Amino acid sequence: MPRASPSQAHGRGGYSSQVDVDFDRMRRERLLHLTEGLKRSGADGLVLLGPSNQEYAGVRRPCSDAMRIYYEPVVVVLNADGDLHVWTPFPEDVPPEVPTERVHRELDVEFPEGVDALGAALQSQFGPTPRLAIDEWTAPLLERLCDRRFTWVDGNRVTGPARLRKTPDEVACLREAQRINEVAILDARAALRPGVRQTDLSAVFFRRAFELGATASCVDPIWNLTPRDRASQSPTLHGEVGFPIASADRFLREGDLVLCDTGLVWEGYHSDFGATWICSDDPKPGAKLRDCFRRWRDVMACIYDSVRPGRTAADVVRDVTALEPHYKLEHFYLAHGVGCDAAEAPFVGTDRSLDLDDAVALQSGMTIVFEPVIWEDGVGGYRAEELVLVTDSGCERLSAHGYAPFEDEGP
Amino acid sequence: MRTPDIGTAAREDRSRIDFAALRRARRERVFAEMERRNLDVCLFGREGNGRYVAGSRRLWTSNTRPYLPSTVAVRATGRVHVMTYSASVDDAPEDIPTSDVYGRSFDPQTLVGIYASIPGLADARRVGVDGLTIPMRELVGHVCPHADIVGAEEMMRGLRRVKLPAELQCIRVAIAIAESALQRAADAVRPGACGRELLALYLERMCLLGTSTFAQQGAFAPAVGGPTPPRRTDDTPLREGQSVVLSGGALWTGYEGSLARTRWCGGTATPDDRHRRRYDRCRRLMDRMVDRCRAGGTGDGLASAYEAVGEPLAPMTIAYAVGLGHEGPIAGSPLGPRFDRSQTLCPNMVVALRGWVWDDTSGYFAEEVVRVTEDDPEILTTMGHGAPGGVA
Repeated sequence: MPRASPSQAHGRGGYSSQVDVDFDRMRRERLLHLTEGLKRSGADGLVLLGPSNQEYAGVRRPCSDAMRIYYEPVVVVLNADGDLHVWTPFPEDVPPEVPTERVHRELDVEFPEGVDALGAALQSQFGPTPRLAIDEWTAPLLERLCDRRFTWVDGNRVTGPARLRKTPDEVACLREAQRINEVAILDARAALRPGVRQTDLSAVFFRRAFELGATASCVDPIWNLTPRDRASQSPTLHGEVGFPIASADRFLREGDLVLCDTGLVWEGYHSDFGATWICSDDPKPGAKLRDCFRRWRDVMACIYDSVRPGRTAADVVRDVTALEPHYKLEHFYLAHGVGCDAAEAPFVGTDRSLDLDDAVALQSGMTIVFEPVIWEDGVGGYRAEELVLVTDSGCERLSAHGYAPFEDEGP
Repeated sequence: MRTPDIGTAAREDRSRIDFAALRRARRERVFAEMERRNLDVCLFGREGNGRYVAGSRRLWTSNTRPYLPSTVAVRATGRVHVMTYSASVDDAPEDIPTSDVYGRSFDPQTLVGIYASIPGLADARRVGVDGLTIPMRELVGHVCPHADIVGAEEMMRGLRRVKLPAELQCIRVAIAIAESALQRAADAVRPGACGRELLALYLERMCLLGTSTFAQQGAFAPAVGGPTPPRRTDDTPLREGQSVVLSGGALWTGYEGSLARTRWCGGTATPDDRHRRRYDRCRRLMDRMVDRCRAGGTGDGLASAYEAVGEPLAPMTIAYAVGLGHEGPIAGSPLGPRFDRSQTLCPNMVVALRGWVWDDTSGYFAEEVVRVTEDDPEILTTMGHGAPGGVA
């Protein structure tokens, strides 16, 4: 099976060549996290079908081809010794440390024959009645391998905790992903003027992002056209602001409030940019809208004060709530983690009980995107996203964007 | 209308595609098949299936999402329920009533409540799914306590593979967009340009045509002699004399148009004899494969086209069904010749065909999309190979 050289397989170049990431070390450390989690789970092996878990294990595939992904299947199996076995149509994206004899052509796990072959491979590696962790089942897998031969446990209980705290190399990847996103956003913002369409902004954004070295886009870029009063929008489940709504060829016109949200991937790591723009020849927010921004900025300042190791996610939610009881859209959360997925654990300030957030201890190395929203019906509101790294003593803002056309000073 | 009329804008004198009728027709096919298979409810998490039964649009492009069913089809009521991420009914097709749009939750109890409130789930006996996680199986167990959970991806694959006339029209538009975007990239192939720039231009053009949804990011890279075409786009400058593979695809209204071409990177120079020979070989191979795309034919017939023209079979899927994305392999997958023999072509299947030929220095890759008809195959892709044989 043809294999690329290490520098080609998981290297970097061009615009991003200065980024200080030791990819070999990063993969080694992640695999160690997974192997430790696997041992704790008591399972014999870990079977991964989900792209973000596979990326974390070091095996890449075109993650943004969502409509093709099930029929270009990749299967990654990890054993307690930290050995990877990979079945993939993209052998060039398997890291060089996986020996050639453990890299195979893809297993079509959407078909009985492919699932039977996987079952046989798992039994030959782990014995006739293995106990295995798995992140997701295909329908044939559910029908053919959920019998008394196989005991399955939830693989996300292995990958979730492993992925929670990022190594310095992972943080460097996240910084670069975020940098590319924010640089491309500068072009999109410069292109924003009355008469452009949402897809025109996506054109500018994609052009720049992929020239800069983005490896994928994980979300259809969102340029949410947001009415300032709720009565002017389509109905929502709870009467709140509808967001995020998929982009189309809609025109953006004078005075429109635009909530944007973009996600680009660099070397497997997802970025997240969000901000509020005004589409206008003279994009000056009115006093009441500016007040929403100021309140949003105060919430972010509160978050930066609040986030540090030793505190819990619920502590941050309580601090924010004391300042601003309505700090988010009802169907959203205050924050989500980011890494090999655009939104991953920890989720902070969701609709579940705050007791559960109390169980989420903030730890150094967590990377969390905070996205409070301050909304005043009839005025509009302000939403932006801030990528935050929990450090040993507090936290660090990894986002670097400004707040034009609001104030150009950050929290 | 016989005169070609492929465009994306609305026309005042005729509806190019009646999407309301298309959504109805797809839904009716799903419910009829559910009845035939005695399925009471289907819970779908996959984009292609959700698009087929509901007509929902997409937001996320990455990763798999079986963690929550985002589309629920209930046979007893004939209703389709869809999840909204934005909380807005704008997320749902206009013919789905507001009462059948539901939100998401991070609270397991709330989630159970959301699904339990959908009429027909509580007494369902057989529930079809297109994928599952362990937590989701528990959720389904709570919501449908009397039901057997069975696979429904195979059912959806079978339905999706045979296209309605309006679906064919969507695919034609998607291909036209992809060809326009790929042409933009092809125009920029020159010594010193890099694959990443070609990818950027391709995506830009697609968005300027009004769709920011790509079917695949694709590959823009020089061909290297070896068993498979290049699949990775990077920033290595292209050199004069390389054969550059351009492959990509667009989604339009959810339907995929993907194709691949190989262009000579020559500046002012014309393609050399080796490039032309590879082009001729690939052309011969593609002609043979296309000719075998006939009703009643099977996947192994497509695979053996390689042998018939004396080319080694590339170790990859060389034919697959395409529609709402990739709809499964037809030939060349590792499932092997027996599987390929079981894949029978029938009228109005749309098949993507891949031809890859190579020598010791480089290769030539082409992908065409073909509609199987009652008689001669219809090639839906029209983009040329440059003249003569691949000048960018």
